[in-house]
Amino acid sequence: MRVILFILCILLCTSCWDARQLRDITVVKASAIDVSEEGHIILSVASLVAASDQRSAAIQIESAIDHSERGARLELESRYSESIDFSKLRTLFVSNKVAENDIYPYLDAYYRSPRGALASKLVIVDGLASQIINIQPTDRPHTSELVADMVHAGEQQTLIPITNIQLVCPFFFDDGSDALIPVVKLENGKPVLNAVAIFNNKQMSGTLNLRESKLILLMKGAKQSRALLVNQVNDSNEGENIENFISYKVEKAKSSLKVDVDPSADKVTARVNTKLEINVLEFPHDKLTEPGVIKDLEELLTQQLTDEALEVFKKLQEANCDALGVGKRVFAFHPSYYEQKSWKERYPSITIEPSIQVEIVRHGVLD
Amino acid sequence: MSISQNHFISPNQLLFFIIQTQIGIAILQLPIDMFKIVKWEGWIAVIISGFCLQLLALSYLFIVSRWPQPSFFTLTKKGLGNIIGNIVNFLYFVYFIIVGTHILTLYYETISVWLFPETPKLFILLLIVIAAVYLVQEDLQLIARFYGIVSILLILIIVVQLTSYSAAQPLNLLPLGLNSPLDYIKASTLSIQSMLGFEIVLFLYPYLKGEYKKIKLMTVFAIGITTTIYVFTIISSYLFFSPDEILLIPHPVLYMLKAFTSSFVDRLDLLFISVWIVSVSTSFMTYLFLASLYVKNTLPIKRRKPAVPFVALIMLIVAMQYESNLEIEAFGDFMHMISPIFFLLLPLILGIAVFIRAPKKEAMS
Repeated sequence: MRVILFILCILLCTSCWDARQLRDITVVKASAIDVSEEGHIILSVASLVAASDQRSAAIQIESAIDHSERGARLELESRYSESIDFSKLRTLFVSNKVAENDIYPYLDAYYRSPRGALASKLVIVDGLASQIINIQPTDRPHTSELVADMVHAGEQQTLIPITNIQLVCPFFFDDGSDALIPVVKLENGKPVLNAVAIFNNKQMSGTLNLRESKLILLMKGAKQSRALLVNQVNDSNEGENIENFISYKVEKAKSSLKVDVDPSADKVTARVNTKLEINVLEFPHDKLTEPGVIKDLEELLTQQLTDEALEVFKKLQEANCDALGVGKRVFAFHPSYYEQKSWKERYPSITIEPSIQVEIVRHGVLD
Repeated sequence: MSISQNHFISPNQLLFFIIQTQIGIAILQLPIDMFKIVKWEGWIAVIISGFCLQLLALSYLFIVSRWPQPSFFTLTKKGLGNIIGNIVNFLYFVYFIIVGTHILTLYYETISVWLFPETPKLFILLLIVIAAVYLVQEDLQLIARFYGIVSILLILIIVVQLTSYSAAQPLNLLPLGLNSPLDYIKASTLSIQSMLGFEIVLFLYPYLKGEYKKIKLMTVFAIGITTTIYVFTIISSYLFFSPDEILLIPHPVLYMLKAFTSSFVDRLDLLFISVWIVSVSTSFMTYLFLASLYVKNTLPIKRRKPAVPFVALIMLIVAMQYESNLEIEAFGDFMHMISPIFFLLLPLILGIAVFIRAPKKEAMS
């Protein structure tokens, strides 16, 4: 009996049906989604081709046009000698044209497949997504690696939120909070991280530059390992002089969001209070031990950052992007008020009062 | 009737027995099933049903301890008379077959979607059935020990889910109190279905060796642990997905693990499935054991072990008939419909009958 069992186990547990041999599949590292004039989807993929010499890996890039993402994949299958496999995808590029329309249907195939690589980076491309795929960088096997590393570095610097294909999904289905997704642009033949796309539900409705996105991230309390900022603190005649600038690093960011709802006046007020403890990295003026200087600087920075934050929220409200998730809070604590009217209609006209308090806690080894 | 030494299990082993039987298939689908009825307050419904189960299980113990019998099947005959008792016993046998089959079909559905789309159904089912037959042919004590060992894996089920907390959104759990009391009742009855397995105390009682007090305590404790694990699982997936998103995802627990990758584990969801398969097999094994127990008590062979492969074969053949998701769902609905008869109605009738016939607690006759 045991012998029979043993043999049976050996036969059954090899899972040879679902074995996927590396030699039978083409591993896609990056895919790019564009949309044609007729509204068809243009899917471009870059996959690694095992080269005869181990040092260089060749890249095969193909693209296909079809009505749907999967259809385009089928189309692509005919151009490869193996079946294509998306489970090791590193970066997914989506053109801003696609995102401005409605991004979700194009991502459905990635969400639906059990082997979909949901942890891969999702990047919006300002322009044609396929162009980014077609670049052949000199220092890395492929742009997908380059951009994935770039996005990762950007996350570390608090330039962009930490996202991947799955982590942005909850925002698509939630009226009370919206997604921020990094944008890459081609400049002089190289991909550059240059903005953050702001979304209105499933549609991209604008962009924030990296400084603005850094501020919104700090106000969300989502500081990553480093956050550096530069401000102009002197208005002497030679405006662009180096002496007029202060560079500093945020050591600690604490943020609180308070939402007041007045149903009778139909008024929502969101107060964002952010406290930043900063470490001065560069300030040619020195004299940072004099209490007066420090206090003036702190006040100035507080004033400047708060003004900037106001601008950021103006932009966000124009784009109807609830990046802070004010709506979620209103729904959580005032459900009946929230249900009266769609939050998307309300959000552009609510009052958001940001305040960013700056405190200098360190200033390097110089005074 | 003498029962040899390794037929007995201790109250501690009963604890693992109950937990491992309860935790199984449902853990993957519970979050969405609850969400459909009471939105993000699903965990409240689970806590309510957890309490109900405690009461139910304690009343079971009360019934079976009043009139100790060599097995539950003889108790039904004594309590309800021979003819009705036999019918009830047979119904229970059919019920075990149905639950076992239900476990197999859902297990296959999950595995084929997530892991092995190409592997033939028969082999996926055989994997679990062969292992179950192999173990259930052993003595009860051995089965209980196995359950005890694999209970360590439950820690993994919790730890793996902790990864999703880096993207948790606590506001998803608010606002509270938007549902009507009727909805809570509906959701609670449904979540009782996913905690089936507590009814085994009815059948295991004759094999228990230990103080009655301790048996009660361990039963309560076991159901408490199951409830806690379920509540934790539900809350984790509600924190991770936004409300409207979760409705699209039949297996939220697995799905949320796909969003995370680390250098040494590429796919946490597969790790979770591997652990979950063990929990599913233990649930299946329990029902296989109970069905074979019926055979032993009813057919003239008087031995349990030879019956195991045949009972397993019946379950396997029935499970092979259900192919599409819709059929499997219909089968599951059918099971949900009839199961209250077995964990509520019949024990209640039996309890009344026993109470009438044996007003005083009797010793082993």
